[in-house]
Amino acid sequence: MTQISRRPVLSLLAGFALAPKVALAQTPLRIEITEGVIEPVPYAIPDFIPENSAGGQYAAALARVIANNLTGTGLLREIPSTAHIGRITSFDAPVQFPDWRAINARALITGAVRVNGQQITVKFRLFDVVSGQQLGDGLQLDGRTDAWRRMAHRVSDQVYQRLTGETGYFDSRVVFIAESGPREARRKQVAIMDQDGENVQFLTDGSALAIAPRFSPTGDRILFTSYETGFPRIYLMDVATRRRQVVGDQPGTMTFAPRFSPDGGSMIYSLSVDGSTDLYMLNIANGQRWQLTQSGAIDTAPSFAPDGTRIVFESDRSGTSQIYVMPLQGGAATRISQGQGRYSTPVWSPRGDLIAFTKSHNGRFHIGVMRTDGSNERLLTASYLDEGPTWSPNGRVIMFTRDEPGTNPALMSVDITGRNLRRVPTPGAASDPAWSPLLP
Amino acid sequence: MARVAQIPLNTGQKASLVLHGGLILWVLVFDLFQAPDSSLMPAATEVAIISAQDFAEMLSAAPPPAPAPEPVPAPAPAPVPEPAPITPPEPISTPAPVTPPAPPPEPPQAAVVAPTVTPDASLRPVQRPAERVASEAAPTPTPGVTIAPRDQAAVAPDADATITAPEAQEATQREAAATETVTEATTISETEPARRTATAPEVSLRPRQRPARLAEPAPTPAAAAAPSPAPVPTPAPPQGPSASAVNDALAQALAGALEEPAGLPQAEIDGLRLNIESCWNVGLLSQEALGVVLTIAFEMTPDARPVPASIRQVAAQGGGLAAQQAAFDAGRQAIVQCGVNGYGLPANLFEQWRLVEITFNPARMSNR
Amino acid sequence: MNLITKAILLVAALALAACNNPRGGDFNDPLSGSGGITSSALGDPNDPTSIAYFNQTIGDTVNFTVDSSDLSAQAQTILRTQAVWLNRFPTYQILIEGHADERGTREYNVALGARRAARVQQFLIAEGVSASRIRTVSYGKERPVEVCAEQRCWDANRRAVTAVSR
Repeated sequence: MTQISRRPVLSLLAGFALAPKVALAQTPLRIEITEGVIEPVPYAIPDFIPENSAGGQYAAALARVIANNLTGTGLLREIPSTAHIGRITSFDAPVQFPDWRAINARALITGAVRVNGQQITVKFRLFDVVSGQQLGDGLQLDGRTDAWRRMAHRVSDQVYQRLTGETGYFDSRVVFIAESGPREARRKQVAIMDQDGENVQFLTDGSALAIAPRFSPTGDRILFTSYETGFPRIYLMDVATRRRQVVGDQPGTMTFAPRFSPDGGSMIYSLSVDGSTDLYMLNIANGQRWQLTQSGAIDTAPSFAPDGTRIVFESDRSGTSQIYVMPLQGGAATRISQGQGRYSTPVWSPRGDLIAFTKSHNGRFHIGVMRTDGSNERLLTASYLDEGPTWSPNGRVIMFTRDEPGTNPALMSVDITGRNLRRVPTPGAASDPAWSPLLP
Repeated sequence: MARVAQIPLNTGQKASLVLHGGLILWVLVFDLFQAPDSSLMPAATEVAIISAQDFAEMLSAAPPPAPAPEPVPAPAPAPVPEPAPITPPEPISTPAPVTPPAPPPEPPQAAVVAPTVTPDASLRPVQRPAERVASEAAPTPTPGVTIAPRDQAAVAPDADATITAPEAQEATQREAAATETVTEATTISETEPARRTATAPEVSLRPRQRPARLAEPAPTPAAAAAPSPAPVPTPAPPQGPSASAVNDALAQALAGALEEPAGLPQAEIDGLRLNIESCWNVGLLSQEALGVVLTIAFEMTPDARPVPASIRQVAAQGGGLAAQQAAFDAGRQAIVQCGVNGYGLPANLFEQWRLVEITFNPARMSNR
Repeated sequence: MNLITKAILLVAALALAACNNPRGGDFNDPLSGSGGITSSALGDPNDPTSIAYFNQTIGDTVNFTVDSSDLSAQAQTILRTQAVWLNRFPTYQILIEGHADERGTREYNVALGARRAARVQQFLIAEGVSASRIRTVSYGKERPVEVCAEQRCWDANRRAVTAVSR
């Protein structure tokens, strides 16, 4: 900026002394660009360099996990190794950028891996091929070999952040409901997996119907609803130890639709008694409970704003399901959904600026987003039945359940721009995903 | 990796190291990780996040012009590799045991954002006053519902009448940007083999609206009189701090004297602009990065190729450091990518375009 | 899926298969929880004191329209008949299951099922059935009786089932 302000003076002086033409030319040609293109950016990621023989088995696998993450965003497009001209033979040797420009790569990721016993060391660098520059100075990760996938996710997050300007979401997990058996007597068990569908583990045994698990803000606990007693009740489970306990139970009632508060110390949930479903909040530690709504209607699927001051929920108090926002301190609930159709399962984005929801209208179901005042509603998907959105840790991607006739329900993800609709791999039928925060 | 390790740590990196160390310790000590994973925590050694060159580029925008190529390492932008354990925003304020929130139809507090208040049960949807917060274009008429950008034709099968197409894409030659989007309503063609050709620099290496240069070999008087010799509508450079009346007078005098030989024809300027636009791929940028208005300056060679080493950021507005960095990378790529074969500007007017300053304003691209 | 997982699934499947009799069974049985499944061993349907008679001859199910818990005239007739029978045999315990079709979200459907079950409960109580005998549960859309993506199935699945047990 200083340059801008100084230049005229300098140029004037110079111009006065020398040729006037030169003087004027010192003023740069100024252009404003407001239109660009939106396209997947081509990149290359050769297999990592094994720096010892034990590292060999991870060299390709690391690159594949990273490529799967990055390409899966829909923002980048991998140039397959078969098209590569250049070869990376040493992690520290200078990159021959012309080789990568020739195949039209914009970004290049190189890496190396070394394994000593149970220890694995992964290094990577990111290059702007077009400008012929390294972006950042790279990163080295040390860990145990059985955490190699997490290291690949960490590398992916680093690359993603540098290229997009926002944090990534790859080193995260998803809890969901694994389904099996006939629909009339479906077995539903709580399961957990890495964000990319790997490392699936079951957290409940399937003897009791379980639905809608939710992560705590630190990702170490989950809440879910189970019919273990024959009636829907809310359970709190420690993911590591699998220990669980009933929370918020009140005899003679049904409790469900739990979600953690942003500080993890409380939950909001629905309690049904005598046909009326209202919202409650429970301090998990001391069991203290508050009733938040009493409309006589169905108030359910509550979700906290990230700052904890407000909640968003669905209610049919107007006659059909609509979305309402309410200050937690008390005060009126404000309806924010204004379009036609029924609105359900609102979820506040981690960035706080958007609310994702399920909408049904004219026999179709949609996942959509709107601002927290209900404006700028945008529908991202459409199918026979889409429901239950959950946000990626960075608020860029939404995962949800799609259940179409003749097939099993599946987890899908979509960018909040509506692009890049993809199926999230699961071992079998799956529903009710909930995305964890980035792992610590 | 010795080479990386040798790079001296600056304050930010030290802080980063300490914080990470602390974090790891914390995790180990309290075993916050689940048992099977606890030992798997990869220890991240933050080597550096930004290169010295990047620093130089960023700093070149900083106050003192300091032509020093390698400025003092600045406070590391250190985007911590993994976000600190999400600290919950302050404990929930204890909500008063809400007794029957019975219809106290009192107006909402100021905090309530939505303009319309529907205090309690049995309310019919109140039509919201039409005051949109939106500052961007494309307010859609219907119930305020738009479906994400996509081909309208494709929407038809799925969506019903209420789903309106997004802002009608302006009729630029480059509709590629919008139609690129293959979303839900089209099909679930899992991998959209995106139209990679659209990227191709070759498509637009030649400015589209370039007038046949042969026709006007030199800036004839006519050319000088051409539309607006002044470059694009850019905010005039702020007056130098010491700008005095004398300087102003001088400037005026000089400008007047030099008016005629000056003009780079508007068509040439447009050509350059269109060229760079075709290479400015903002697809990667986060919403935050799409809020960054960034000015990049660079020099050209006499054959109208950008000098990569000269590309530097001179101003940036909006967004955090990471967002600005990503925005700068995208802008730099656009300049270099589209200029590899030269921008084909008239050589006899070299001095008119030897120095270029481009302001990238993605506001119109952000509501993609 | 590895061997262990398969083994777990198998065992769990067997466990489930062993308990698919919630209507006739004691609903306090911790393993019950798969409602809406017809089953055997309920007695002779020709015996007017049997559960089978109640289920089949009296009719244990009433249906609803979309998003509604209103009882149609037909539903009220069935429930009155149920009430007469239940009042005649006061030793039976009653569990009313509320269900929804799949054309709604999971949480809403649980709440909707609860509302339907409560509506039936209130009706039976009004018809003289002791409130202390009745419990309600909602399965939302988790336990359809018919599976298809057609009106016919949705109509059948929007229901409340009166399950009696000794």
